[in-house]
Parts: sequence; C-alpha cells; structure tokens
Amino acid sequence: MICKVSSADLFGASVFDVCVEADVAGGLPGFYMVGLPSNEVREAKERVIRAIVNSGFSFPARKVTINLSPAYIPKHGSGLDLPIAVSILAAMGELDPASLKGKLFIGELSLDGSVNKVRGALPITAHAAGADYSAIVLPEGNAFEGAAVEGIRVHKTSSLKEIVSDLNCGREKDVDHVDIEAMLDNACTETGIDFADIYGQESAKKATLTAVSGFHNILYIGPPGAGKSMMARRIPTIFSRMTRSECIEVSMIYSIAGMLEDEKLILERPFRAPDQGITEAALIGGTSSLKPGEITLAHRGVLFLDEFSQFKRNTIDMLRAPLENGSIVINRVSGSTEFPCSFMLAAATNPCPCGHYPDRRFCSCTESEVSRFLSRIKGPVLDRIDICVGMSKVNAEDLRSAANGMTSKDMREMADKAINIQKKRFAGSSVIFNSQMNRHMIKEFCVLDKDTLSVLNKAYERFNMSARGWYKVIKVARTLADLEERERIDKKDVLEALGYRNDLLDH
Amino acid sequence: MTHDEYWYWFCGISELSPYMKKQLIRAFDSPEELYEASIKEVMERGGLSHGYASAVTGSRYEDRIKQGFEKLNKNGIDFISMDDERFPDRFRLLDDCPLCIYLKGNLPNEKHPAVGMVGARACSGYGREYALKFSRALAQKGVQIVSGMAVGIDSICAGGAMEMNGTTFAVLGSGIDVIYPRDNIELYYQIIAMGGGIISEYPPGTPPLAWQFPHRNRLIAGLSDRLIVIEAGKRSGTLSTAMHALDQGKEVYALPGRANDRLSQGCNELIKDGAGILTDIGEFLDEIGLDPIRESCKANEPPVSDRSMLLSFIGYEPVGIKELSEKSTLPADEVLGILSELELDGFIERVSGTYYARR
Repeated sequence: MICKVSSADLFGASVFDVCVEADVAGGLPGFYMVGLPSNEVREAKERVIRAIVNSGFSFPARKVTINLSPAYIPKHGSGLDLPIAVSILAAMGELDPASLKGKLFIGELSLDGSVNKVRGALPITAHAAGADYSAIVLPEGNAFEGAAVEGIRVHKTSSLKEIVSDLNCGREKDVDHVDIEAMLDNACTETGIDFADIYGQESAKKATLTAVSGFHNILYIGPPGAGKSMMARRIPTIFSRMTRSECIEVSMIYSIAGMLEDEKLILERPFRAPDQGITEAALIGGTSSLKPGEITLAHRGVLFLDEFSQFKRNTIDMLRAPLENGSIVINRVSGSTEFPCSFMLAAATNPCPCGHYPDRRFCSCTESEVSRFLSRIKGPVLDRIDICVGMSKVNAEDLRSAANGMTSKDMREMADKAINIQKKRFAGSSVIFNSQMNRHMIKEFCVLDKDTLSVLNKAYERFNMSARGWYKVIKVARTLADLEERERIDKKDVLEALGYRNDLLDH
Repeated sequence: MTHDEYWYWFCGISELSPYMKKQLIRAFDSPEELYEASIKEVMERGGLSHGYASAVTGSRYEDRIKQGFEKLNKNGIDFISMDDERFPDRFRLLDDCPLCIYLKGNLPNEKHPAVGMVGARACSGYGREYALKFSRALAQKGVQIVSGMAVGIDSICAGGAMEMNGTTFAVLGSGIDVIYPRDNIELYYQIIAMGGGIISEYPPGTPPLAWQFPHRNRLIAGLSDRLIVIEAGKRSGTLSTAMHALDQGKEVYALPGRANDRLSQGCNELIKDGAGILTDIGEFLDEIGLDPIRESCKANEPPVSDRSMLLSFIGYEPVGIKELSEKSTLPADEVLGILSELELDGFIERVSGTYYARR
C-alpha cells in the first residue's frame, strides 16, 4: 500500500514542500530511500526503523520504499524523520491515512521514538500557513516558535507513539498562539549595561546616538582602553523596540541557524561581534549546509567588528554588496537563496600599530607605519561608513567625576523621536532610515539654504571630498537635525557632520 | 692596478678599524707600498698584531679587487679616496675624516654656500611649515642644502629645495645603494637627477645599523657651512648633528618653539646655549651675505569668541576633541562644529579621527 505525508525542507532561507511517499510491498525485506536524500537524510533509515520498533510497533519484514518528491531537489533536513516514520506506519495500516490530510509534519526521531527539535521550524510553519495547511505537527521543542505564526493550528508532539494515538483518536493538542506584541513590550531591556557606565566620552556617545538614530555605519578610532568596544556593546541598549514583523523576521533567521532557544523568540535587536579570524563563509553565509552568516544573524541589529584592521582584507571586502543591498544572495549549483542582512556596521580600530597616534608622548610609529596600518582598512567598506569618531584615553578626572553623562534611557528616547520623524518622512517607501536615502530623496528631504550650501561647497573643495562623501555628510546632517526635531538642516548640523566625516582615504 | 684600485682595496679591509687604517697609512706612504709589504713589515711598521696583519696580506686578490671596483663604476658609484683631489676639503678639516667616500651624483660646490638642515623624523605641522619655507627660500638664493634623507624634516627640506630647483645633498647612514627608509626611493633618485648627490662613507650594501647614524651626522655637519635645526627632541640624533657642527666650529641656528613643546625642547636648549634664533629667513640670508627676499607676510585675521577660545587650546601637537570639550566646557557636538569651521577656514587641520592640530 502507498501512503503520502506532507513535509517541508529548507534551502537556505527558502522553504519548499516535500511529499514523503512510503510504499510497503511484498518482495525481499529491505528499506530503500530515493529522491536525492543527503547523508543526513539517508541516516534517517536507521533512526526510523529503531524508533518504530521501540515505540511498540513492529517494523514490516517487507520491502519498504521511500520517495522524497520533488526528486530533483536535494534534501538535507533531519526533520524528515517524523514524516517518513508516519508514512510507513500509515502504509502498514497502523494509522488512518485520512487523518494525515491537510497536515504538515516535521521532526527528528530519537532511537526511543521521542521527537526532537529541528532547525527552521518557524519559517516552515509560516510557509505552511501561507500554503493552506490546516495544521502543522511540530516537535515539542519547536512548538513555541511555531505558535508565533498566525493562521495555522500547531500540534505539538513529544513522541512517535503519542502522535500516532492522537491522530487515530482525533485528539487535537493545539498550542496557544503567543502574543508577540506583549512579549516585545515586556522584553527585558535591563541587560545590566548602560551608556552611563562610560565616563568622559560624550563626543563619542553623541556620535553613537546619531549613528543609531539614522542607522548610519560608524567607525571608532582610538587608543587601547579608550572604551571603543564598551561603546559599541552598548548600542543595543538604545535601539528602538522591534516591531512584530521584525521580530518574526529575525527569529526566522535564528530558527534556520538552529540558534533559537526553547520557548523563546528573538525579542531584542541582535548584536553580533565575530572575531578577527572569521572566514568568508561564516561572515557572509553559505557554508555547505547553507546556514546564515554573521551578517544575516545581525539583521535589524548591529554587526560589530572589533580590531577592524586585523580582519582579512578579502573577508571585509565581501561586506560591500550586503551593505549596499541589505541582502545577500548565495548561489549554489542546485539553486540560489537570499538571506536578508540589513544591519548597522560598527567597527573599531587603533589608529596605528601601537595604538596611540597622534599622541606623540606614547606613539613612536613613523608616518609611513601609520599610513600602512590604515591602508589595511581602506577600501569599499570604509567608504560606506558615514560616521567616524576619534576617542581619547580616559583620564583620572573623568573617572572621578563619573556622573552627569547621558544614560541609555535618555539616548533611547532621543533616538526614538528621531526615528519616528523618519518613519513619517519615508512612509510608503521601502526606506526606513536617513542612511538609506537615495539621491532623489536627499534632494527632496534635505534642502540646504544658501549659507549652509556654501559651507558644504567650501568643504568639498578644501577636504578634497568625493561625491559619496558629500552625500554622506548631508545624510548625517539630516539625522542631526532630526535629533533636535528640526525640519530644516542648519549650518551647524553640516559643520558637525563634517567633523564626523571619514577621510582616512584622503591621506 | 691603478692608484684608486689600491685605495679601494685598502678601504675595503673590513677587519681593520678606521683608527688602524689611519695608523697604517701614516706608516706606509701609499696603499701601493702596503700592498707590496710582507706580513712582518706590516706588523712592525704598522704596529698591528699578527691577526690584523694577516687580514691585510690575506686580502690581496687582484682579480677580486678589480672586479669590485669595476662593479662600482657600472653602478654609477664614484669612489673617492682622501688622496683624490675631488675629496671635499670640508671633510679634510674633520678630526675624524673618512678615508674614502662613495658618491652618486655630484659633490657640493665648495665655492657656493652649503647649509645643513636637520630635524625630527616625527615632526609637527609647525616644523613642516617652516622647513618648507626656509628650504625654499635658501634654494631660491642658490644655497646648497645638506641633510640626512631621513623621513620628516630632512626629506621635507630636500623636497622644498628641489621645488625651487635647488641642489641638495644627502649623507646616508647606510651603504650608498641601500635606500633607507624605503619610502624615500623617489627622493633618492630625484636628488641625483636634480644635480645633487648622495654620499656615504660605508661600502655599498652596508645595512642601516643604528650606530652608523650618529657617526654619519659629523659628515652632514662637515659638508655644511652653517646648520639649521628645525625641530629636535631633548635627546635626539638631530642634536648630535648640532653638537658635531659646534665642535667643528660652525654656526648653528635653531627654530624656536614653545617652552612646553616636546619637539622644540632641543631647539630651545640650543638657543639657550647660544645658537642663533631663526625666526626670519631674510635675516639669516643677510647674515650669510645674500640678499634677503622680502616676503609679504599677511597675518590671518583673528577669529572671535568660542572659536578663538578653542583655537587657543590647539597647538602644533594634535589634541583630541574630548580634551577640547573638557577644557572649553562646551558640549562635544558644538565643539565639533566649531572645529570643522576652523578647519574650513584653514586655521587647523584634522590629523587622525577627531584629533586636530594647528596648521
């Protein structure tokens, strides 16, 4: 007898339907699997057989053939274990095939028949909801994320035995949908770190606030111990709350990466800080199992590259397209997939090999050593950094008079105001932040008066700026004006933005 | 072998110290005579131990010497021994006169004035500005500039002089064909192309060893009639050049700086000890008997208010925006705006990140 069970598998970020067909027929006893199963899926054979036996069923001493259709797409997911087992049991008559209608199954089996968590449950559930399935059967460990999706019933199961009896008896163990809005509102913002912990770096704090408000990429330059990493690590504390759709979007990525914890969604904007040894594949994504890279894990949040100059040049240069497009397409022989990666880049570097330039009391690096050091970070990526801020050593006075700096709460309120202004400004377009404005938008939203324009023209000549640099200054000035809730960009905004310009390239 | 080849052989005996060589050349009238002498003669007349004497006798390979000498010529390197009439008279006066020099290009014209210009490698904007100004003015008057081709002031002076079609000379602390630092390769060839010269007392291929630099400083001072010190730290190679110049009885001039300026400490110290104060190149030219150039000195109009306060905090050593905001008690973003304005108006320049210094 033949029996079909619906399931799904991942190809990078996209989900495709898989129909699992089981045929139990006469002939020499054996277990055959066709339809491009990868090694992970091929191994399902042993798991499925033992799980069926250990769940109290008998495995038929007949010829069992499994087909995974469509047969031309390779399948990688261990989530196909459960549908394979279910299809065999249905073909054997242990299960009523009618009870499988309209349901999608995923889950990995243990040898004892229990159902384990799989990666990608959230996008698969969302896919199932969009494809008119009435219910999805998920492992217990994935039930929470599945419940975040509206428009589909989520049936959780902990073992093969349980699901068989549930299906036969028509029991519906639906999980309640989770209220994401409420979770986002209650998300614990108390991470124990605060911008108030950083003493005496108000200029860098202001630059950070500006960067977050307009989603500008930022570069910190300063000696060791100035607090560059400390500053960057506090960026998440002033980010605006994620919206429901952003939360789902980011949680999906973590689900695909297998990094979503039980009973949790990603409620706070991610902060990713890969170390300098990272490979291109790990940064961009697309290892052999097509997992999202660090840039995708930082989607809607911050990617922080500490010791920017120590990263491999090639690796850094790979960031160019993602920074420009907000997404990355990974091509394979078997197809291509697109991961979102709209992140804010924060980078930190020493100004020279010893780290103290231009403070000649400590730094004895020659000019050529300094320029050689900086040449390591020059390139297309540096060109896409809007704000560059120098930080100096903290002195004893700063530490003593620790108080009266901006706190994360103040900064977050200011940033939220600026972000609301931008929301209104860009309503109806795909742009959310000032940093994403194209040239038409700059023309429309960044009108400069004559006086201000003459300052900018003078700077263009004097500082030998590029066209890109010119637009960067205007975008940052726009954010600075938004922070003060001013419609007009003043001369002082442009002057301040000029101070943040990043002209390491010009020396 | 020719006379020069005998000298080339003699100077190239690396086992002997310059002192021993001088002793030998005094004992034997010429290197030819030394070449022919037996080991016993070398020991007795030259006062050398057996080991050193055998270094002399053991290096007499005519083929090898001739080949080496030919190679010099092929590479455009002139070998000039102290016996040669081209050997600079300015060197002969030195206590520690080199036995020979290697030369690419020309030697300074002894009839024209030559001024040494030296200074710190890690110079400030102030030093750079005056180095350029002075070297240009001197070159315009046909003064030959001598320096050490180090990065910083040395290179700036050589560059400034050549902008005005002046001739410049560099005395190296390494072998003549070893360009150090590597970045100066362009300067090296430009100096030769513009009619100047590169000079070294070390055989070709000698690496730039630390002790050789203070030693060669005596030659920079030696080639110059007067020495100008642009910027110097308290204990620096630049100061050693100045000391050599004073020992040789030459006048030293220094560019004064602020009392608390680290890079001007050496200069101020020299002035305290009686060096000439160099504020106006016209006066200097006057003193050495050349017509001063009258330059129209247009003072920048003074800035006002917060600007002028901030400007007063910025010196020639870079200051970070953090310090400026603390000193002025103005908020950081406001300070940044004013600094951009000052930068636009040309009063200050941004050094790295948000560090600023006077131009």
